[in-house]
Amino acid sequence: MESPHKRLKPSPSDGVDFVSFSADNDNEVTGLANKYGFDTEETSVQAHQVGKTHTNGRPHTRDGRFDRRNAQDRPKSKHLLPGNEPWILVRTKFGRRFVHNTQTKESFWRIPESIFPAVKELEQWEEDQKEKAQNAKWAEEQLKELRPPMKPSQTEVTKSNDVGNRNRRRRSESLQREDEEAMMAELAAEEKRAGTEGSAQNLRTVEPAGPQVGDTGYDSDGSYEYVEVTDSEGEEAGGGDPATVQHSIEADDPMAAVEDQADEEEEEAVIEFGEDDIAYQLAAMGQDYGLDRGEYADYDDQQEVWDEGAEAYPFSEDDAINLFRDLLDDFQISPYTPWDKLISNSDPETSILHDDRYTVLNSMRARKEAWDAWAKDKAAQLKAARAQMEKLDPRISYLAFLSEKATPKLYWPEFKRKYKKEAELNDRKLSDKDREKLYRDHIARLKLSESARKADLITLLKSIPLRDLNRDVTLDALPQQCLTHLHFISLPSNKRDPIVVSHIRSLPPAPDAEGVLSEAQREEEEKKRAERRKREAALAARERQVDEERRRAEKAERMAKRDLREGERELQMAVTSGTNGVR
Amino acid sequence: MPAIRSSKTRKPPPDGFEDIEDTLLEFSNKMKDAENASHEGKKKHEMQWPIFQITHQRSRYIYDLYYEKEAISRKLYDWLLKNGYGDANLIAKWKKEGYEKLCCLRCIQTKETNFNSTCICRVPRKQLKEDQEIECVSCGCRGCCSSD
Ligand SMILES: [Zn+2]
Ligand SMILES: [Zn+2]
Repeated sequence: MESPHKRLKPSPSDGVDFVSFSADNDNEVTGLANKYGFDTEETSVQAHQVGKTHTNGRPHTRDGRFDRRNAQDRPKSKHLLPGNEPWILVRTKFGRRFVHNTQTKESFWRIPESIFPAVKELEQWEEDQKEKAQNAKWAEEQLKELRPPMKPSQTEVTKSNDVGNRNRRRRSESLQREDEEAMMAELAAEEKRAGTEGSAQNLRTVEPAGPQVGDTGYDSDGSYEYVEVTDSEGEEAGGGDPATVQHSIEADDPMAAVEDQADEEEEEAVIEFGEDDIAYQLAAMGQDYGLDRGEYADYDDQQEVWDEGAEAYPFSEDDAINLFRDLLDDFQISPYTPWDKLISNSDPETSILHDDRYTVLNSMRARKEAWDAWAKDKAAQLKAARAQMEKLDPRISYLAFLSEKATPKLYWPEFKRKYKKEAELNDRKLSDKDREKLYRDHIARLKLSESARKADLITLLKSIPLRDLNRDVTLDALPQQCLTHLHFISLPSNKRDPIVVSHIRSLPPAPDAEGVLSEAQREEEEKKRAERRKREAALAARERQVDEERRRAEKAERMAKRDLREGERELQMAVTSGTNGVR
Repeated sequence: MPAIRSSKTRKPPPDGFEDIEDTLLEFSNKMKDAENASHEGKKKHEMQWPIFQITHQRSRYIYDLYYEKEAISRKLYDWLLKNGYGDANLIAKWKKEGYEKLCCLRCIQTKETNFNSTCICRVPRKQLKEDQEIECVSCGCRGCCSSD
């Protein structure tokens, strides 16, 4: 039973009938096979090691050179190309893309014919996903309008912002920076190569825009200057005009830095890219091999966010975990499900894999950990609920029995002997000790004054939340809180019933769903709901932001291309006329 | 092979069994399939691998529910082992340091293997040559050393 998720495995193993037996890469972190070695654990092991290198960090020797401010373009995401395994598609911040062969370490801006269909397919799929997400967002917004809005307190938001930022920074510092460095080195090497092959103009065409260009639209004057400073003498050319100087520095600096390093960097860069960055990325993806394509695409989206320096995301790791837990709750997953089974379920109705909240945790390992913790909590919850039920249920029939038969004239042993054949005295769910105690307590209470017992009964009735006891409740369907309470049977039924009935009549009708809970419960529920809404809003915000980033990048690319085309023309004309002039 | 509710074990299972009954049934079905799988084109020893592997998985499932998630009672846990749903001997090994991931009991028996030592899958990855692919003969394990 090869599940459809498995189609990305490099070599799917046939003839095994249990998913995790196949020698794929996710075994290391999946439940049953978790600690078992039926698996070439190499990929996972590598993932560890690489992961460690990243988090512990090599000395950041190239921080200065590849400073964020200087780096104009940088990689944003990597995508596997199913069926074209050694090749991956890399997207840059400015929306450019290139393909990289992880085996030969080659990179090409121009996508080779052979893998072009795969790239197209990926893009088509992404298009579809976007549409789906937009539909979902719309539906969500419609829903929000229906619900009364919840006002989150200002301090809470700020706090979670901080947490999110810290979190993001930690991650980006340890992982992303090195990713970027490696990728920048690769870009530099790539551009160097392009430069040696082609003209100076060609070199420039792959370096489209200055840092803030995308936001404000393109200043056409600036871009003229920008094109004019295509070679190192350019700084002199633009020297007179302060605006131009500034612009040329902005535009030229990173390239100068990159170019200076490019010679010595080229070889190392390629290796670097392969070993650290790509291997890390692929290993991380490899962990997710068991999943469908949406998996790593979303994963990449998340990377993009961390990459982006989006300080405003109020999205912490706890949020991610809690969103994942919400997901498990919402799908009413049994905590007794084996992990393998959970993540190999692809049924569109019951599978959790297609939910956005599944991908908020970015690795299978993180998901497995969250699952383990959730399953443990959930099982404990179920156990407690059942224990309560079991305690409640047998008492109901026993107390009803006592209410009829118990009398101060009989001591417990006598009562027990007299009714030893009755089912109520033989229910295994209630211990003899409990039965004895209830009997003695009941008899003791029967000796109290009637008014005292009446008062106790009214107190009991008043303590029951409206959800359980209201005008719509009938005498034969009284809530458990009544039926299991000794105070309820302290009065004989002919005296008790009128009191209960009159109390019920004084109550309002059954509340609608909102008012169903007791005050404390309602507060608790409200708090939980508020937290959840916050998480979900953060998730939606993040997705929106990713979308905007992408659109902005696309726009920047379009603008840059247009301006560069114009610039090239201008330059061409200048060069032609310049040459003519010298002659 | 676990005796699934034979006539001797008619006594109803302890509470909580119903929570895991479906999963256990799936395991049993897989085990049956593995036992009845076609021998064609397979080496004799390979035929037994799925059986060892399912035994491992089912035992791990029970172990995990009892020790890691505390989701089943001691009573149910004992009952499951007694009725062959989990391999008590294998689980006993997992509790020992160095055996946390042990694949099967065969792989730590020294007599059955060629070199009078434990199985290759018990060797730490560090001690193997780089990129050395291993797959033990007894159960198809690809390495179950705790440090891996
Ligand atoms: Zn082994
Ligand atoms: Zn073994």
